[in-house]
Amino acid sequence: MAKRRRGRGQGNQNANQQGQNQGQRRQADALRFWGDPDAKRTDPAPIRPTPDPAALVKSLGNPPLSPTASHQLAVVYEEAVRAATALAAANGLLAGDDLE
Amino acid sequence: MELALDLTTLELLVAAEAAGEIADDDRAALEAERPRWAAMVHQLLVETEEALERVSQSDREERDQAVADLSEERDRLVRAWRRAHGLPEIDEDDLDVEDEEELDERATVPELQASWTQGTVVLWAGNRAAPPADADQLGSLLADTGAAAIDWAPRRREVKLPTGETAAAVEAPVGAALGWLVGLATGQIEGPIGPSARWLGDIAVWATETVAQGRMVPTLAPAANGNGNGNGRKQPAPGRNDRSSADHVVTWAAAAVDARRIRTLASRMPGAVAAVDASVPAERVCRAVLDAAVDAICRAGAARLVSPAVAPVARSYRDVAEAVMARLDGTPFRAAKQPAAQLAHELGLWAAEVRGRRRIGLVVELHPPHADGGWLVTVSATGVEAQPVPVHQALATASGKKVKSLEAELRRLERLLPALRRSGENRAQVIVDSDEAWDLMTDTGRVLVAAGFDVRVPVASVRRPSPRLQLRADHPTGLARVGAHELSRVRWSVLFDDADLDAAEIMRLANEARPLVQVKGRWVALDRADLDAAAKALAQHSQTRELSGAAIVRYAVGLEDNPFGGPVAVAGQGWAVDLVNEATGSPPAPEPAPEGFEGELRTYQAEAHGWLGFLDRAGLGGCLAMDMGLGKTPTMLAHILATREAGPTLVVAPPAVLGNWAVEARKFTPGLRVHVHHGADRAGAEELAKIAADTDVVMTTYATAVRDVEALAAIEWHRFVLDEAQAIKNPASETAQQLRRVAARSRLALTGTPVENSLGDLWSILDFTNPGLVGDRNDFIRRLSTDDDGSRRDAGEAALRALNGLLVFRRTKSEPEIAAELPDKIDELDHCGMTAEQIGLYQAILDDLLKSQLPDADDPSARKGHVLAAITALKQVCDHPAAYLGEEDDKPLEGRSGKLSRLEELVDGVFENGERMLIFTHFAKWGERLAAYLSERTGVHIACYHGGLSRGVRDRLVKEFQEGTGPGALVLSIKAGGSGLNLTAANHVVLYDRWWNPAVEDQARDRAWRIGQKNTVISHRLVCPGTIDERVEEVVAGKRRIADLVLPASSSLSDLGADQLRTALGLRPEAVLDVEEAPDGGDGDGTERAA
Repeated sequence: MAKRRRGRGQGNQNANQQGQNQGQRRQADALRFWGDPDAKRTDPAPIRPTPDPAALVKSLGNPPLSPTASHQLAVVYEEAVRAATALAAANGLLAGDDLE
Repeated sequence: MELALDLTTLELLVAAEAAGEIADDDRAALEAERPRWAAMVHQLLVETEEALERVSQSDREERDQAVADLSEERDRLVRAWRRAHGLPEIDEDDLDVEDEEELDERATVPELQASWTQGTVVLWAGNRAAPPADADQLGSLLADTGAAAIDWAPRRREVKLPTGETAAAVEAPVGAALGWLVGLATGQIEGPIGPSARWLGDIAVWATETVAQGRMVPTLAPAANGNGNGNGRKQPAPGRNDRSSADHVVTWAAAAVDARRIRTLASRMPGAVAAVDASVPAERVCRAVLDAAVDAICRAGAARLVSPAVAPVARSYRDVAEAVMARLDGTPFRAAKQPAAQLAHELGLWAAEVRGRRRIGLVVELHPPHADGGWLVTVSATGVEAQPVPVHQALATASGKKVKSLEAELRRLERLLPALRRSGENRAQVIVDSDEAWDLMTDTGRVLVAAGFDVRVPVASVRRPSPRLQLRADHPTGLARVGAHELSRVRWSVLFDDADLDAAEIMRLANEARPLVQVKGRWVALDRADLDAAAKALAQHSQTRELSGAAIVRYAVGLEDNPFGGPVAVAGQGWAVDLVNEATGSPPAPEPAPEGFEGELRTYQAEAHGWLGFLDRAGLGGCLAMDMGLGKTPTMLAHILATREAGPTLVVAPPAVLGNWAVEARKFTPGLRVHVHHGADRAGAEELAKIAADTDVVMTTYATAVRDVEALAAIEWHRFVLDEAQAIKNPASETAQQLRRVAARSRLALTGTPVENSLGDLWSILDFTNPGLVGDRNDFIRRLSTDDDGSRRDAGEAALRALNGLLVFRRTKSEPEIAAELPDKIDELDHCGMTAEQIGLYQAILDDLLKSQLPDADDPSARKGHVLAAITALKQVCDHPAAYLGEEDDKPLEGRSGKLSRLEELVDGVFENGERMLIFTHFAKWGERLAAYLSERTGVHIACYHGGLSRGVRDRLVKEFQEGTGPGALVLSIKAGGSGLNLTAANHVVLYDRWWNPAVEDQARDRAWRIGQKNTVISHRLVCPGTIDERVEEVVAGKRRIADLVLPASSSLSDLGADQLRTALGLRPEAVLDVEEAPDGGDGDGTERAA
């Protein structure tokens, strides 16, 4: 992890730093390593599979592969999206249709 | 808009603020432009992170120092970013020792932790105040958290913790652990899971989302030992000692990645994630995990397809391209280094705009149409200036690198949204038609989002709105009368939910490429067939320009033809519109019980009370159609009490419930002045008029009302109430015809079964309460009949729903909110009449008892037996003459007993609701005959359970009854079936005759009212007033002993002399309800005279 230092212009905090005891420093280090057990977790946002799995490929134009690569890629993208959708569904992550 | 700060000043102030060197005035200036401040900090943060990434990958000597400096700068900007967004500072100094101790206490349990290194998930266990787990403990934790099924390999080197301790660890490629990681993030997997493992789970969810949206691209690279993503590619391509070729592998990477999301996730990455490899910055760890998880999912998808064979070594560019397409599942293949490198480079260029850190973005916005119907699509660019700017402006002002990127993004966008190519010089906007707009709102918009563009479109709905005809009435003018006869000019339109379209608008929409309207804030596409139907409906009604108030009400409740069927929406002004709006728009508020009412009204009763008040104010009649047992009588009494000042109320009820009316009036409304007009000594016409003038309520029976119709019609009634109003279901009957002659300001009908046989029953009731308002009988039946093959009950309930709230107030026990309010049992006492045959037999038995030689008083036991035998005979006569006569009687049962008539009414009501009932009698033979009679009458087989049956037969009867569904009944001898049985399939109990001991009756009722009963149990006790039945009732009620009627409490039945017996057992003429004849014309009511 990158070393974190306090910003400039925070003289009052520097004073506090000088006064803080080792326990507090240990506490901060421990939290950085183990993570905050009290951190509020939010449920993952529902996943909405794309209606056009190959949209991104289409937007990029023909790939520098074979002349039929776009079509072949589209088939693979469909399978990949299907696999991701199945994974999301198995974990209750699929969104309902927001168009009703 | 003129900006307060120019760009240069803004940059200076933002930098000063981030460094903590800003003056108060300058800070205020920044805060006044917080959005620009936030955007500027964001831009600086992006640039700093890009620099950090570049530097961290370099191998120059000063790398470490540069990384440290840039990290510090990045941290300052992160804090500035939080301030610019008004988020609180995170200050380590805020933590105190108490927090630490508390945390330590909770941290003594080892939790499963996850670290990341080169495509591999490493699991170990520990916690800040717990020693690291050994291999056995780790195994247990894996089992506890559902991770044991994954093929983990023991890790040779243990994980070293900051304390210097080491933890046993296992490892697996991310692909193997992906499902488990997603489960951690979604909470599907619980247990001692540490924040580090959950953090990896969050990235796994993100990867799932990324692939589900198709945001990934293939890349090509030499397959190094451990290819970076570590997704289990252990099988090298067929080896060759060819230095010009090497194993290569296709790897999938996330595309169009949100940099802010990376930053957010990286900022909360626990250090434990990097416990194995601490050299990689958090953001790179985050990106590496994301890419590895995306790769794993894509490979799994690609592996489902059959791959073509590839050459052993792909030597040309074309061969390599074919090998790439054949190995998208990540299987390594051998390829010549030079063409492979060239292809890898080309692939990188092809995906550059979505692969790297994105400098600019495009926002596609669809604007709702103006009057000309055209929809405007605009494209803005982000990342060029602090705010999004039109793309043509961005192209003119952006730096060279950004222009290149902008052009590339525009090309990408145009490939997915070709309509933009029509925009010509101004690439910022284009007009699209409604079809293209709909496509953008419902389909292409989502595609663009998946491809990495920001899309802002109006909310759309694919739900098809149903058309509904609407009439708008102008305020009546001229000499029109107020009320049902007033005439109003009307205009017609069609509602699609809340979109109100007249003929011109419908024609305009019909000419659109796709007819779009805004409904409840969402754009919807109208069906062309619906539009055609709407146009036809309006053409059909265009000539109807004036309607009476009554006709408007009929339209509003669906009693007039319209092409869409059902009720027509009503708007505008006038009596009918106000009426309909008050009843349906904002239904009358519930009214609590009025002052002087003893008790409280339940919620639905208060609603009914409010509805009755609405009818009263509107001068309308109506039908209070609450299910049996829901308290129609007290509700009506509350209404009468609340409006007593308006004038007298006439209540007409069957004899069986007239007594109940009087009892409930005393109980709930003791302040009401009630007069029962009944019996031989009832008042004459003149006297009745005087009584009515000084009375709040006059109660009488149907037969008496018909007989005294002249006298009743001469009185000015405020309200005329018919209880058990199905009595007038035959409009041609004498009763129905005569009662229509009695005028009142409002007429109210009370019934639990407004549709006994057909919708014609309901018409009769409603035409009585509001003469002429509901139109012709045949039309009424035709329009409210359902098209499907639903039952009569279904059709009736559908009709009641259509009329509910205006002309009808319908509530049933099956409505959950009503069931929740009901007590679990309701006891009702039903007064029944006596036929002439019953009265004659009763008197004969009594005379015989008194005239015959009673056994000597010295033999009290014989004397008592004689009297008790007579009492039994009298009770049988009250039940039915056939119950007394036994086998000697071979006449039909119908019309010979007031109790049987009442039972028939109850059976009809219960069966109408599809419910089941128990009928208890003391006389087994009578029970058998009763069961046979009811079976024939209802068409439902009804058995009799009595002691003469074998145990097996009795058990079968109980089983069949309990397992049966729908309408059903079981007659039981109270001796054989009054205890021990479980008959919870029934929720109605009829105690056809009475027994001295109330506990026996309670036990009988408890066959249904017991554990397992899900509904309110209603028990009806049938009593013939003025007979032995009533004496039993008094004894059962604990008011007295039978002998107490005439003797001191210490005496017994055997002490009674002839006169005393006559007093105790004889008929009380003033109380007896003598049913004279069978119901006329099937209207369900007997005409009775006082005995």
